[in-house]
Amino acid sequence: MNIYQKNCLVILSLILGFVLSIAYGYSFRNFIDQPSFSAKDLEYKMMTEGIKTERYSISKLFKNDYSVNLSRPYYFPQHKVIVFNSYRDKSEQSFYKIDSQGNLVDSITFSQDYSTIIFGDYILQNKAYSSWIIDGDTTKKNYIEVNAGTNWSEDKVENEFDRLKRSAEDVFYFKYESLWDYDDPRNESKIDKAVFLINGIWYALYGKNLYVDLNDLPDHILPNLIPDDSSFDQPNSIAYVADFQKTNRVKENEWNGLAYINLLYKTDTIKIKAKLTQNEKPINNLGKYAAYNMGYFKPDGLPYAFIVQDDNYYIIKTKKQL
Amino acid sequence: MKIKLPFLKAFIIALIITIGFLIYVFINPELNSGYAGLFFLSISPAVLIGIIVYCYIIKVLDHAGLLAPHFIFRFLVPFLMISFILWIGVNTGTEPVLEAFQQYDFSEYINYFFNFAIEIYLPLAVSLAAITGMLHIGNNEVANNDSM
Repeated sequence: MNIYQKNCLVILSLILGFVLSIAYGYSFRNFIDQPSFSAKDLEYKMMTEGIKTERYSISKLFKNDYSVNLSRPYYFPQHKVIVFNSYRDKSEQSFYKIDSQGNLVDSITFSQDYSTIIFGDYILQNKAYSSWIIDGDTTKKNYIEVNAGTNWSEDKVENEFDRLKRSAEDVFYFKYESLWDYDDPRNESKIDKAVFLINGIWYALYGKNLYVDLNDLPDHILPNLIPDDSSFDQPNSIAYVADFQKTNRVKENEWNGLAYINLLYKTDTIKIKAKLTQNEKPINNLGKYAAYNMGYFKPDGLPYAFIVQDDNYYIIKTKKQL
Repeated sequence: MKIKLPFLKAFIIALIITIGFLIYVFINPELNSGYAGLFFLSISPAVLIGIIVYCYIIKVLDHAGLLAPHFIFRFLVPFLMISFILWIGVNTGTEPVLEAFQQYDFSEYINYFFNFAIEIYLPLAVSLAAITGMLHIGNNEVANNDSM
């Protein structure tokens, strides 16, 4: 056997080695020891397949995909509406209104303004506000300025502040840093802005050190009912993982797979199949399933609820009687 | 025609491949994210020395008559050898590339191998082929000496 033949033999045996190692892996390592899930697969459906129970049906909330940067639902119980906020970037925000029957009925977009925010039942900006949530009015209204100039003494501002606050239903604050242009003298002298809601009209007062951070104040955002701890693993009265089919191992004790979720809505159990990751041995009181890509929102007093999965919203409605 | 390998030749080959390696790293955002680029830069001297060593190993195998004196063999035998050792290496241990306990169908399973091949073996093949190609430059003199 000459050197060429020997080398050819080496090459062929190495290629054979590859083929054998792949064949061995596919035939003898590529399996998971678990019971059959074919009965469960008939019972539980993926959200995208459309789910129906005896009384309820689940369908996509938005025909188009607003999924990118969509907020959690805001619920305004007095007006029986749900509002979603979505933004392409922070300067352009759109709001979508769902009526008491669960229909998308209206939308509004505010562009070129970074200060747009939902506060109370209003959409507020630095310079204007909107009562669209309450009455559907799409025009922006200006604040009624109490002290347009900045020549008021601090005492006078303080007295006026106290007087307005006593009669106001709601107060919101804008900090000078995000309020004025860079070259505005009011930015230099740190003039904040407080706005007061009195009888459906917002009044604006300017002055130093008015700003109060309201970020931690409770707002109208609905809480996510999907438990984010170990109670998601055990039967409960909201939503839980009833069973789990492993599809592949990610690493030791961690599996990708399909969760069979029981979601309880009124009288029915909605059976959802969803892709989740299972951590077989979670530390502390963390749950076995990381459900960060799922949400369940139930506004009290409205005949529907929302499920969100991977930023796609679905609505649970009573089926139309034929 | 045996490979002639003065140190300067090995060094220039190693330098060219190392520069190529760094260019590849820095134009590839996946490899150059965060401090990863700096990491590859810091290991580049080791890469340089590794390639010089590789050149000498090829030369020794060549002179010992273990590698057939043709580009195909000088490239393919070491390449497949390294690839196979790498393949066995990454598939043993606690976190293998092709994990046991899957339920892939055959095309999914084979795709994992091919993805790995494209990511790892393709750059390896390109650099080894380039090294072998450059090792072939300037060997005529040796051939002439042999024939004399």
